[in-house]
Amino acid sequence: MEIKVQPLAQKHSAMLATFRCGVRSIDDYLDQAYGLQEFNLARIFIAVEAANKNNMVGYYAVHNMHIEADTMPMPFASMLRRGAMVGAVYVVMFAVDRRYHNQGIGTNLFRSALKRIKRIPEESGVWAVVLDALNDDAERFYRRFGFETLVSNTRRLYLPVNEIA
Amino acid sequence: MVSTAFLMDAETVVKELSQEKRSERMEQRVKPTMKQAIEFAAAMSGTDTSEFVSAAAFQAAMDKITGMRYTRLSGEDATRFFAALERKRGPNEAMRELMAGYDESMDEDGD
Repeated sequence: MEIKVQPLAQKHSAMLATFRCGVRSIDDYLDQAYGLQEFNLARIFIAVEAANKNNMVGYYAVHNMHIEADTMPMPFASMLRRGAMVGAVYVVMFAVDRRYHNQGIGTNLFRSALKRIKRIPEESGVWAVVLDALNDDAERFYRRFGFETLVSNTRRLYLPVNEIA
Repeated sequence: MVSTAFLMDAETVVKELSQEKRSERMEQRVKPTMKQAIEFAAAMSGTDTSEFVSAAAFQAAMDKITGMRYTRLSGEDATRFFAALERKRGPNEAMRELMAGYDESMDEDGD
C-alpha cells in the first residue's frame, strides 16, 4: 500500500487517539507527541494512506542522544577530552497500525527515517544512529543493514552514519 | 492530564515525589513464580511488596527514560564502536538495495 509520511501537525490529532499497533506502550507514546515536538525534544512523523490521508497507518519518532565511551582509541582520543559525550540520533520506534501489518509499511518508515537521518551529519557532527529492537526478529532485520548490537544491552543497536545509503 | 515525566531530571522527580500526598492505584497480573520471587525479595529487603514493586518499577522507568537520551559504551562495546567508526566501510549491499527502493514522493515535508 502506498503511504505518505508527514511531520506531526494539528491535523493528525484525531488520528493519534485511535492508533493501535498492538503494543500498548507504543500507542501511549503518542499521548506525549505534541509536547515532545513543541519543546523540540523529538520529531514525530506520521504515515498516512496515500489514497485516504485521514487514515493513519504508522509513525516513527526521532531525537538526538549522547554517547559516552569509557575508553577511546586514537585518533579519537586526541580530539576529545576523556568523558566527552558525542552526538547520535535515536529512533524511538517504528510503529504500524495492526490493520496494516505485513504490507511493507515498516520498511518504508525505516527508509524515510534513514533518509532524514542521513541529512543530519551534513549540518552537524554526529556519529551514529541508535535504536532499540523490540524483539529478535527486529534485531535480525536491523543487523542485515549493518547495525551492530551492544554486548552490554543486546536490544540496542547502532550504525555509523556513513553506513546509511 | 499531559504527562511530563519525560522532562524530569532526578532532582525534580525527588522534589515532586516529596510534595505528593495522594497516591494512585496500579494493578498488574503476574505469574505465580514472579510473585513468589518478588515477595521473597521484598521480605529480604525489609519492605512491603507494594513499596518494593513500585520502587523497582519506578527505577526501571527512570533508567528507560535516561537510556533514550544517553548510552555509555565500555569495554568491548567501546572497542567495537570506534573500530566501526574508523573503518568507514560505507553502506553494505542490503542497505544500498533498501534505499534504492526509497521513493521520495513518500515524504511530504512542506505540508
